Amino acid sequence: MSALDIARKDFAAARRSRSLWVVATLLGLLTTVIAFSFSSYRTPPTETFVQLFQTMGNVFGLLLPIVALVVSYMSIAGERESGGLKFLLGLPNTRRDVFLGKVASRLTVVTAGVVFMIVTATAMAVARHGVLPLSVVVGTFVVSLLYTAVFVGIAVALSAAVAERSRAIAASVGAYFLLVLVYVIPGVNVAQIVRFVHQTLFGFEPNVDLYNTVLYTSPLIAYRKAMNLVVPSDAQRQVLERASETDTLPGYLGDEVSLVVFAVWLVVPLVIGYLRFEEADL
Amino acid sequence: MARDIADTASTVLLVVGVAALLAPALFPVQQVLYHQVGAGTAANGSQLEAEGYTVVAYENLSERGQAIYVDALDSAEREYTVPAGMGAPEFPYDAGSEPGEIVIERPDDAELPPPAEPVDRLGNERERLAERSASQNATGSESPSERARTLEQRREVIATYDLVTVRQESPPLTHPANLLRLGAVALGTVALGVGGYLRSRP
Repeated sequence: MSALDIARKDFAAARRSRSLWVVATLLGLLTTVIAFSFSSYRTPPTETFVQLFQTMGNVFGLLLPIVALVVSYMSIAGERESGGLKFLLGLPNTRRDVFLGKVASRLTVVTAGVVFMIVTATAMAVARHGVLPLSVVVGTFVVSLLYTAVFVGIAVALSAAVAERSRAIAASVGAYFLLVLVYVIPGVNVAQIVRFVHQTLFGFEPNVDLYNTVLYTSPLIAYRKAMNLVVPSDAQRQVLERASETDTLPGYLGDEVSLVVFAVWLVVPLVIGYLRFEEADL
Repeated sequence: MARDIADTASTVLLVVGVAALLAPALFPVQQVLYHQVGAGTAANGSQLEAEGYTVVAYENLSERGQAIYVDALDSAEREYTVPAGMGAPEFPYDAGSEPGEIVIERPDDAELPPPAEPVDRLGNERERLAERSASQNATGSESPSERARTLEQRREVIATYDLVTVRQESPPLTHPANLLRLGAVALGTVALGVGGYLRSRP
């Protein structure tokens, strides 16, 4: 068996899950309803379509991490606790095969889910508005997939790094809180905390770029910035605060940098998770 | 046997699901043209033209334009919609993000439905004025008969010029065409979910 065989076996097991199909169907219905009910005031159909997908991006920003974490948090910890992992490693498989196979399989599952959500939303939006800006649809799909892959990587890495199911759940919930919720909840927003420490505690002059840089470390903020890459320039949204209306953001806070943020979040947790898994006493 | 039935059912559901998702996208909801007759205006034709409005006499409208105007006047909400492409050539549907406007001058002797509501309100005001002058001797710079005459003139002007607002938009969400497509996409989503599960289960 190789990593590919493990991925195939794991994917076959995942797609037999009734609850997975129920969740996928409900998410498909959710995007259908959003696409149906979305309307904007006297804008041309193409513009309305783009605005819909931006709104869809806002929903995906909060929803996709949950989907990815729920699908992936048990991938290795579950097998480890049930003893299935010893069986898997008893065959001529290395820990790397298991790790990569699990990542590939869970990534395939969430990719199918994202495709389903995008397809249902697109079908409804085309039916409502009669236009299909393909670049926006494909771009949203690619960016959403990257964003979801980040959380799949984090969840599999956490699952590989811990020995028990309960700790995997706790770690996944913690990851969602630290990487998503903390950046959107008013009052405990990371930028406000950094601003407080920087200005009030240390007494430094305000530095908006510093606060923006800290914000930009979040995959959620990176996703919102990346959405600007797939919509026409006149529809792009301001994600990060600027010092004044005339100020432009420095290059390292540009929309393209979101891809670097994704890459870091994709690679670093996977490497750490894999190294922890290699060293773990099973 | 049971496995064969499940396989057949899953295939049927998947085919229905794909068709139900594709069909609404292939036959999208057509936009409609809205025509709304406004509340009339106290300005006369030359004043309206000076303000930038296009004033068209009712008899100069095309047959289609006359029919749409009359249907809009006849409707309870003073609004009439037709499918895109079925409008009148003289109505400015493509006025950008703002609705287009055109003023229609009603002929004196036309047998058209009554003009919009402020004319009726002016009529009621005139009746109230007449009743009041009958019951008491009104004082003021303008006698009741003069005031009634002024009101009559205003009424005539308002009754002569109708501001028609036109726009091209998607029909409302509750329109049967929209609901039909929502039903189809929702059906397709559920059919794909159930069909996919039946196809995947051991």
